[in-house]
Amino acid sequence: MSDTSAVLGRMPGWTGSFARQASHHLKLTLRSSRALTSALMLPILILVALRTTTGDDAASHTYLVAGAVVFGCISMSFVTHATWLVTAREKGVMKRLRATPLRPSAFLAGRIAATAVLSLVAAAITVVIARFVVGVDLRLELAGPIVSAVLLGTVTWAALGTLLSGFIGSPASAWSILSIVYLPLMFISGVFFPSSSLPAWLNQVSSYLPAEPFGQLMQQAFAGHALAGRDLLVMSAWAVVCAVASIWTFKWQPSEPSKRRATHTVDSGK
Amino acid sequence: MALISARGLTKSYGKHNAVTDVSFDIGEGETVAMLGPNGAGKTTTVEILEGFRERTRGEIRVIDEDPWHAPQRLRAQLGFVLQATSLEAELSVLETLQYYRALFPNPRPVDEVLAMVGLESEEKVRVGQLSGGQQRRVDLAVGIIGNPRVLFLDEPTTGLDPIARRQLWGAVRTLKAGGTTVLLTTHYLEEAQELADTIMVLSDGKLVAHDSPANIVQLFESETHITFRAKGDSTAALPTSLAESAETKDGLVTLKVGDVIPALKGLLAWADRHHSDLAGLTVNPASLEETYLNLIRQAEEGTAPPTKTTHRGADTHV
Repeated sequence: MSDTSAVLGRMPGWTGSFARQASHHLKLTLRSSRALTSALMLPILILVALRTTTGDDAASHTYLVAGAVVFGCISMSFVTHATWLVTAREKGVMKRLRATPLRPSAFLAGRIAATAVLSLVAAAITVVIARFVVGVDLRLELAGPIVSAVLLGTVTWAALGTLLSGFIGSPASAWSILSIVYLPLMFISGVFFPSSSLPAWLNQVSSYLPAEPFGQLMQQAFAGHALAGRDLLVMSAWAVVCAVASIWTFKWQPSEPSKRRATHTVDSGK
Repeated sequence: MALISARGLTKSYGKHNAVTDVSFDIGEGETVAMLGPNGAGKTTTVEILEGFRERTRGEIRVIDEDPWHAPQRLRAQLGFVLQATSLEAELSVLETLQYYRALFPNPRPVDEVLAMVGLESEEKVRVGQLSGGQQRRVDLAVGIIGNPRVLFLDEPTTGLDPIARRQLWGAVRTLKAGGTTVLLTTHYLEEAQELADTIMVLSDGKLVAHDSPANIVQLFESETHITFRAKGDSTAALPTSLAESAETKDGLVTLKVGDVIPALKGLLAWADRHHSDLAGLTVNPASLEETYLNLIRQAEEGTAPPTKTTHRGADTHV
């Protein structure tokens, strides 16, 4: 065993692996038009659509932009990320990756970092468009809190997406299962319309789920308020719990190999 | 010392055994083909060796490690071509190889690998735009980019056209010549014969033969089927030596014989006497499926086939 390292050379380090994974996943997502449309076009559509229903005062504008940014982040880090995980797993890409010396932590951290970068870009584009469409006035000193809120929200929702990917059997069912989870959460979060119109108990529940605190943080950031410790705490707790739970639920191999084999044999008969 | 070894390897799903008490050794630099029909347990066996599945019983070692616990240093020495093509369509061939190359401590140069699989002129093309055969060669390129000591090929040419199949064989021969240990699963006898130093035949989860390609081929060609269309009750009058091996179904007589020449001589003489025209006469080796069934039967009856299952010195725990 002593000569193993001499034969093998040096294993790639964690930091280098992480950086390569991040750039790899940036490239993959940028080349997938479906992923980009949902994360870039949807927030803009929301912005334009909701523009007609909100008031014309500065507070309404801020509310609207914050909501669109939150929606973009969740599309990217939850829907796009989890769908990719399921698709790559069912294609056998993850199985092959698992068979290399790559550390699973470097793989997932790199992939989530790429998601966070893209969420920031989507947020920036949303903000720029908001300036022209809605005429929101944004000061540069808000950038720090907004970036922090985007990063925390992205990492939390990506962790939740990673956790759920282990329970989704096929790429075809990914979109509907993910939508059933995040759309109701968004509707009761006060992101699209003020939560004052919802029953108090529902608001209470919602404040412990990962959408409402995310929306709150984003609104605080856009309004120039300090980020609330309670919301930061709830989001961080979700991120940690989902990340730890994923260690047990994460799957590297395609589901139901027997069925897949049957399909494979039929295909190869052509 | 064996680079891969299995002793009494068994995998059960509930009451069903997918693999039963399989033992073998594979030496460094050896190319071994695992041959068998669908559902014979080839993929299960290979996936256990690859570390993707946990065994129910038995001992296995791959480069002196237990693959189920697959430490990083073991994974750095293994290469894989999985049963289904597993690539990302959005990346070019070159990008794919550079990406996987960076995961290994002691990889091969990209140019060398591209040349081995014959994809130099496709390096800029996105994987999604390649043909099935070319994608399979990218799969192989990814499998060997890490410079593995052991390469697992799970049905690498299933579904490929003959030209693509030969190109892939060429790449595997180059690897063999370079000293890589290769474990290949296939349902094609021809493929096993072309590439392997040793062939293991799996059937119904059992290792029914383990021998050199020449001996295995002999085994597979040891039975010949002579068929012809019979008129009325004519088969009743067949010479006893042939009647024993005759099966009649829908007016079609099949003689399952070991020695073709005497059987044909006897048959022709008989046809002459009985004025039979032997309509639709065919002479074929027994089908692969039939040979597998024969091998299982022989293994179960204890009538040893002309091969040693313990060929490589593996102790069979029977």
